[in-house]
Amino acid sequence: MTLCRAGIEKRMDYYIDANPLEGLADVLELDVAEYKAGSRYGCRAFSAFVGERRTVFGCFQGRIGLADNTEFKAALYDLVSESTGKVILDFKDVYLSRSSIGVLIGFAASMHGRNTGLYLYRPSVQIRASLQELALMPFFRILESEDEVTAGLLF
Amino acid sequence: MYYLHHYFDPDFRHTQLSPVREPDGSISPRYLGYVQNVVRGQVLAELTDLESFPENVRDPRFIYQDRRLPIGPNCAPHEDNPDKIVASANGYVFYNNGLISVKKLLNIRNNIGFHTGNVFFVGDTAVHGDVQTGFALHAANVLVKGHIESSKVKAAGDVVCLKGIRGSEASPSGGDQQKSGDPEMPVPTALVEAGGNLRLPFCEHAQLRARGNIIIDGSCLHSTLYVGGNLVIKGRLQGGTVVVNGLIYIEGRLGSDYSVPTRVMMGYNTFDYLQLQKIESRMTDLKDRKAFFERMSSRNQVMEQEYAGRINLVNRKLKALSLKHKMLWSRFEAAGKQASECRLVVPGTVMPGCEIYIGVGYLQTQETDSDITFFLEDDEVRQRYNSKR
Repeated sequence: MTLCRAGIEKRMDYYIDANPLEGLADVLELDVAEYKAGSRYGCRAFSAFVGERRTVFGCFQGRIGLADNTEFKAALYDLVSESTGKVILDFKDVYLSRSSIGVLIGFAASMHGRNTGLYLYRPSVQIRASLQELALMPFFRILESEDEVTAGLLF
Repeated sequence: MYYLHHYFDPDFRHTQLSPVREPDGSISPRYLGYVQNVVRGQVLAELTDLESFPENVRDPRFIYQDRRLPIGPNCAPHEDNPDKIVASANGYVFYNNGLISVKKLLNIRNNIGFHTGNVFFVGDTAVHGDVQTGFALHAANVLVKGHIESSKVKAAGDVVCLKGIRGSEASPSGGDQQKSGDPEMPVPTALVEAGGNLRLPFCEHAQLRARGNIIIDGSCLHSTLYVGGNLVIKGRLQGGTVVVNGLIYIEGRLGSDYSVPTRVMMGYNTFDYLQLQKIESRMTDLKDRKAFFERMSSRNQVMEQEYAGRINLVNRKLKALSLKHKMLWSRFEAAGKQASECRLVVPGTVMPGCEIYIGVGYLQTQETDSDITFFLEDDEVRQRYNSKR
């Protein structure tokens, strides 16, 4: 299991050229499914600039545990390096171990320090349960639907 | 021989912080990484055979002759692998007397300012100084022993501030807070949000949001309050807007001598109302943007092609927002039926000019009076004296 950091740059160019202003919903519908299907990795991150506010979108997949944390952390910080805008993390099909949740918390602290918004888009049942159990739910803003993202409900 | 591999920085010192370089090369003075957060169950360190660990990254301080783990408070061996140390509570990790320890309470012995940066902590936080202008704090429960200036303080649970909140009048554009619907009411810059209760001695030019109750031991001046539970003000409520879905008790005075508008709104879900305000503000922005795009687009064909995508995106955003607005509004109207339970009790003085909304009812006070309870009856706001006259 690995995270492909090189994949970020490749996909970013594609999104900039092909879909600069269409909004996140199109990106999700048209491209993400295809990209995930073609992924050789259990967990992979990529980003896309959306709209004029340079929101960056990171999609992850698979089980992320202690052994993957270095790369998971690098992938998260790669997203920030692409943009100074808001960061949305798609954790729909992701299992995060407690250690990985610790990494996510560290990233959230970093985002908070920079005054940058961090959103979790449709986190998996396991992630929700872990966050609830750890009383960490109030530390994250959750987006439940594409409409919420597209409508720019990112106050 | 064994080597203890750390999954946190064992040399971290909160007294020796420096600004973190941003990916674009710039430096943000507001992000210093003040604390190393850990969560319950997170692996903090692992004891491995020395030979299995690369020689070039070994630190001689963490080479052990025998198989022992430096387990301190709030740490425990991993259930499945006794060579791993895990945190048994949310908090921050550090070395204390040679033991890996996790502390659940973060004490910030000074102000939150340029020497701490913004602070994000998963446990409880006590700030022994002020939260200075422009900085932010997010924690589970918060105690601030000094003042809260024009800053953001957010807690999953309760917030207590011992010296009060003093913000400034105007909100910077593009801030997190929504625009006020009324141009006469500037949006305050200090924002304090509590998932539980909030208690403070006074507040001025602040926006307070609490899912539970708010208790203000002194006065509340020119502030915006969103309260999910009850509101108690022992001094004056003067200027600003208060949105409460329960009981309001104002011991001192409601309103002011100087025609400063004071508005009290009751009987609706407070946080739905806040969300509605945000959506309306966002829709206004989008409509302005759409009008601009359409103006540009009408210039010539090139501009029309240039702006077609943007107009399309704005339309989609507006459509989604309208749906959300409609859904919230229907919920909002249903909640209005509980408005008859709401009471505004003022044992002190009620000044003229105060606007009181309870559910669908509205009343503007006309003269100076005292010891009154306002309530909703037959869809009208009525008042009665608390004692016989």
